[in-house]
Amino acid sequence: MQHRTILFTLLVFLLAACGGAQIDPNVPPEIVYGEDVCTRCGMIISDDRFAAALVIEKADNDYEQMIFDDAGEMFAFVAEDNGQLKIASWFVHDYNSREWLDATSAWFVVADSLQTPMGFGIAASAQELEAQALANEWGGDVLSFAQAREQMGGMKMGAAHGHK
Amino acid sequence: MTGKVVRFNRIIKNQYLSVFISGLILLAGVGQSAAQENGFDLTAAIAAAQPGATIDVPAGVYYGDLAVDKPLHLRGAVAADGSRPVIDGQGKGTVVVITAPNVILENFVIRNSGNVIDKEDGGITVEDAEDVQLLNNRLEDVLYGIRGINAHRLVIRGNYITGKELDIARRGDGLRLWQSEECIVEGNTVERVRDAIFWFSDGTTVRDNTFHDNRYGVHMMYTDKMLIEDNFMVGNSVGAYLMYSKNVLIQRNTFQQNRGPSGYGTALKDMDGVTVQDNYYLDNRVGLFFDNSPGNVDISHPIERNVLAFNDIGVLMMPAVKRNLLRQNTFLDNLEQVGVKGGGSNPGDELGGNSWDGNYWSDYVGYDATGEGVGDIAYHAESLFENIADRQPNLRLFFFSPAQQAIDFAAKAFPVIKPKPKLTDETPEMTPILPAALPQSVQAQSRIGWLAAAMLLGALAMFSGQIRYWILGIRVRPASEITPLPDIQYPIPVPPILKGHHMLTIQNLTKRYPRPGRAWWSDETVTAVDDLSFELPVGTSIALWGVNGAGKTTVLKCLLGLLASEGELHLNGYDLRRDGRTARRFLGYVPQELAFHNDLSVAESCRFYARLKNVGDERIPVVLAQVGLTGQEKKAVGALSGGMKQRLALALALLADPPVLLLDEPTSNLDEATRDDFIDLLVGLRDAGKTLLFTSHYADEVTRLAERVLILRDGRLVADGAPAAVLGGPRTADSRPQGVHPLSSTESAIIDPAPVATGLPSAVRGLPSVVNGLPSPVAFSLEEPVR
Repeated sequence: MQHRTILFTLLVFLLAACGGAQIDPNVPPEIVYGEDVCTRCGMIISDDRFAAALVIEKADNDYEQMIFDDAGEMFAFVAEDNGQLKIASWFVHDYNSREWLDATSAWFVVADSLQTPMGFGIAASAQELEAQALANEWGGDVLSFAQAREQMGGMKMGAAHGHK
Repeated sequence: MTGKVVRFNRIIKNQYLSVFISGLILLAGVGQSAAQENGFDLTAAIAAAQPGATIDVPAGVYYGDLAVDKPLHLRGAVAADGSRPVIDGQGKGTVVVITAPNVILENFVIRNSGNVIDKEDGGITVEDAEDVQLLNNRLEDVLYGIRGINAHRLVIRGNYITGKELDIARRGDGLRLWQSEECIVEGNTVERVRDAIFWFSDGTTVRDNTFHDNRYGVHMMYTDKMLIEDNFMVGNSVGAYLMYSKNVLIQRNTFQQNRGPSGYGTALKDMDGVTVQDNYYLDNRVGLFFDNSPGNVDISHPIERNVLAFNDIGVLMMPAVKRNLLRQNTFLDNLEQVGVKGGGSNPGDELGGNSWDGNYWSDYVGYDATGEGVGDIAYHAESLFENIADRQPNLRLFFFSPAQQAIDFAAKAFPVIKPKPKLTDETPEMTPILPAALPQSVQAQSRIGWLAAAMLLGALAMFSGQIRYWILGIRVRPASEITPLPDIQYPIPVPPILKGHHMLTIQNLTKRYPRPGRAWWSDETVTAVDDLSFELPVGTSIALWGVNGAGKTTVLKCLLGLLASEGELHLNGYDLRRDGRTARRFLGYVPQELAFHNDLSVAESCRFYARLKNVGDERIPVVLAQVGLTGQEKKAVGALSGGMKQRLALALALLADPPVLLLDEPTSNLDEATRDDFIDLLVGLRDAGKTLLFTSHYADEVTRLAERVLILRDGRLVADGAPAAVLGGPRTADSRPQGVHPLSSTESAIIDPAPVATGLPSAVRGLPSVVNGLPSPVAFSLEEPVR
């Protein structure tokens, strides 16, 4: 009986130690909306329009995906890390088509009136013209990736909406 | 003309003007923008009304997106059958948009909004308008429910809000307050929506609402000075997720069965100045979750008098969370009482930055020799398996498995791998601590289910006269004073009684306590129940008999899941550890020490427990008749005699019609006449097919009620047979059933207090109350640990 117990225990730990499939850094993660939670805040991710993701290189050819409910969360997460993360890929969703985009080539709209899941007020678009149209509708600004990263990373969450 | 009646029933400021306007509308005919089946044009009425007017809106269906841009009181006429005027959005846009201050919208059904999430289509939007009141409306088939944007002092009271039939990820928010300060959200029911959101809305009160089947019952961010009280959050993914705010009071809420992803009852992230008190956390994945709360090093959070029961994890903290003061909370039967998310580098150090003082821990294995109600040795949470499971949450699947037992056994056997305690409570309470007042929502309408009932009855079992929290002057509001809200049905299937099984099977049950006075490094134990095995067939009655400290009550507590134990326990074929929640539905329990709300009447008490047990009120007269309390329904429980209270306890145990009754010294507090009546009652239940397991000191009681008696001595079974054979008659070796041991002098003294003095024949021994007219003495040893 005791031998069986020990074997069973070992089996449990072997199973727990088994790793998952290899991650391709060029492929965005598959988020299960309504179930997966944000890496930074722990909130359930439900709205694909604002969901974002990072692929981090932990070691050579060893990648980890991180998912966020708000693109602002992604930028804040990276900013908090102070450059320690080795980021292989950035992903955001196109607000209109809801398709994944390479965030580094996307256009971002930042608007106070835009109520995103964590209150950063940021959405992305593949096309600059579409981004401009959204900005006009919401009364916001169009930013490049670098500008958005700088603004969101340096912004205390909620500050865009006047929270002290 | 009769087909186009325009009716303003009441005009507050200018009655004559409104009549004039009515006439104009009548003459002009009804416009097409708000089609009305009854001829009343709501849009036109609004356009014509003076600011401040009241418009009584007759029954009917009104269409279109309704804009209210001046201060008005729109009041729907409620028909005798409860029906109200309907405003139908026809599947487009937001149904009602209010952009003026001091609007009151009352008694409407608002339905069928648009479905465009980008536009946030919904039932009611209040924007840039202060002091608006939304009262007693029913919103259904709406993407978003009520949105308040820059709507300070918005009052949302008594509304029912339910969303569209969409996957939870595609739903809109039932409530969304955005930059709307000092709002009151009270007495609403919000279900089948995404969230109730309170962002940038300082000074908001959320009181007495039900949030059910949503993603987040409450999601609050950047909202300081918030009050969350008396709410009922059940069946959501998360009960309340509170973030980035200060000065929040969370009290008297019930968080139950919030079991979605993350599955927190309440989560606190980057919060400062929070008090969490008198809440119930029942059957969530995690009761309370702390993440960087408090964040300010000068702030501590009182977490007091909460009941955390039957959660997978009672309290979960991120590593490095500090300065939470957990006092007088009840940790009851959580799979893991307290955990560190991710395990932390050293769980003992991680949790040690918080204060754990005077809490009740159901897995506490200490004792209270001094009888002060506080354990004499500290409570330590020190399971190696729990620490591993904190790091690898998937391993929680193996709680109560041989794997867990093997790992924890190894940790005990080899101190080198024994973990440092995750936490230490130097003054653990011996009995559960119930909040000052039971949550009003629970009393009002919630079918909290068998789970909470088991918890509370379990608490009663351990509740040895500790009523100090109920006599602090806080009166429990009777259910009759509370406005009923829509019933929530929970699919709690009652499993059948399995054929061919013994109702109860106990194999090798062993319960050990730490030995009193042992050295801190010692693992010495006292065995309270030692390798006990027996079976209880369906419809039979067995007595556990023995002196105080023999282990009788400990056996019952193990069956109730109040004490961890070794061995196999099966009830109706269900493993009491693995399937304890299912198995215990077959149990009714009458504790030795009774505790009731004395302010409640007999009927109110029954209604309260009926709701806890998910039992309809129709059972109440049945059980009251069963125990002979018919006619006592209006009597206050505090005015009942001891015997009647005992009957009431039995009635409560019978509410769910359980096939098995556990009774702990059911007549120990009764006088002889009352005791005889009560035993007659129990005999009747036994004869009606109930299976009984009871403890007793009284041999006559055992003889009358039990078909078998098990005599325990120092936790071991020393005799097993028919009462007459074991307790009565000449006790010779030849006449004893197989395995029966001779009784000790103490046991004999209980059966026959003074056999020599009375000189009565042995045939009447075992009936002490007959012998000397007095109840049997109760043997008691101060040297025994409390069991």
